[in-house]
Amino acid sequence: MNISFLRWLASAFVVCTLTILLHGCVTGGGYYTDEGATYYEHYGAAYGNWGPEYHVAPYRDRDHDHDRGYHPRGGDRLPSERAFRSAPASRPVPSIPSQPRSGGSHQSGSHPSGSHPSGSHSGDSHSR
Amino acid sequence: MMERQHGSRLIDSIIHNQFRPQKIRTDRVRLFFWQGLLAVLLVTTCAVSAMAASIQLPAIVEPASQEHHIGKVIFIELVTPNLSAAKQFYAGLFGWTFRDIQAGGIQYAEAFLDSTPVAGMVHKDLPASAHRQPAWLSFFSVQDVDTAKKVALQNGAKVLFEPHSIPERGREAVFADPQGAVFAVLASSSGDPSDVLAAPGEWIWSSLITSDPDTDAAFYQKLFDYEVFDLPSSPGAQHLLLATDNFARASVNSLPANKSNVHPYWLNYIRVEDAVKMAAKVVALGGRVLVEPRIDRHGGKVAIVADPFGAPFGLLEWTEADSKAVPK
Repeated sequence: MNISFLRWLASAFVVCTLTILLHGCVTGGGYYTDEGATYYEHYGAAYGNWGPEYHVAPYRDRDHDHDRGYHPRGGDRLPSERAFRSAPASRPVPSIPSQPRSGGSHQSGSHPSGSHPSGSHSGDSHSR
Repeated sequence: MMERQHGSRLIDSIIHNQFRPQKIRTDRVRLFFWQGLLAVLLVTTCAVSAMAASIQLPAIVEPASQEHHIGKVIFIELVTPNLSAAKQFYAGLFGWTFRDIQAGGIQYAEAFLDSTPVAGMVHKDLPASAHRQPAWLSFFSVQDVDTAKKVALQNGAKVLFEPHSIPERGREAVFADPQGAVFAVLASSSGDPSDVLAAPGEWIWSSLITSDPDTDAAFYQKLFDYEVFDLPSSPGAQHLLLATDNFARASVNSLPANKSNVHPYWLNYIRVEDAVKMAAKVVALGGRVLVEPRIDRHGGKVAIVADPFGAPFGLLEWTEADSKAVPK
């Protein structure tokens, strides 16, 4: 066996090993692996038993109460007792996008003329 | 002298003839060893490459957009123990079509409504002893998955699957929020879907049903910089609305009082024009109705159903009039 053949073999070995390691780094983890079963939801989630005023859906434009401003409910807690920062009372409650896919520029579904407190426009691309 | 030289050549000749076959054999063994090792490595390399290619999932936006809507649910994926039956169910219910992606032992299907990608479905076996059920996983848009992981961990979340990159799709991770509800984040390589009204048969809404809406809203606000609106709800319950970019993105609701000890979960809703009719169709196709169609806010109906393998999802009635601004 000559030296050049040994060198070629060693190079092939290194290339193959690096390829395997590289693919391992790129694709490692993720729920596409055998660990995926752990993603499945816990059995026994509860559905229903919702009271008459139990709402989950967004505001709809055909009801314009939300255009007249947002009145924080507050519940049993004062705003200072909440864990989150509540939107200011002057804010209209937004709805979901209303522009059809085939349309042009998109706009807010709830208050086309409404202003955003942070200054971003309705439907603007937003990066963080 | 001549005799000595002749004797030496004779000895050399004998030695040469005696040991040459052994040297050739040793060389051959070495050669076979190296060739075998190389062959094993090549096969392994090809197998690894093939497996890697199998999870080159499609981009979620085609053609790619430059939009990013942090905190928006931009993709939803089903993990199911029976992919072919699930495809049959959702095709019959919503008219979805599928593109199969199958290689390296992974079965994945990309779902379309007309030509718009609407969901992904991946097959995973579900052992009976697992005490778990199939579910639709919500992917929220983030700019940076690793930063999201850091913020999530600092605020009480758990990492279920570490951030990982998938060619074409982007970088993603799966977390459980402080109450245990499972969600994913995705920094899409192809940008985010535009903020447009979902067509019937597309995902339109998401809600988190949780034991502690207040704490969970604060968690997601830190993660996605949401505006949080505290809305009227039934006595003793909280109903919070999460918004970014001036659009409602999701709601956070209390678990019903008598169910406060069960596991919190994210629930995604598909837009329908008639919730009653679609709930009946779910049953006809082998699914179940978990919450009968009921009047929700402003007269629209919602229902909660499950596919034949138990994956729950919502049906949200939304007509054109619901989005049409009425002149004052």
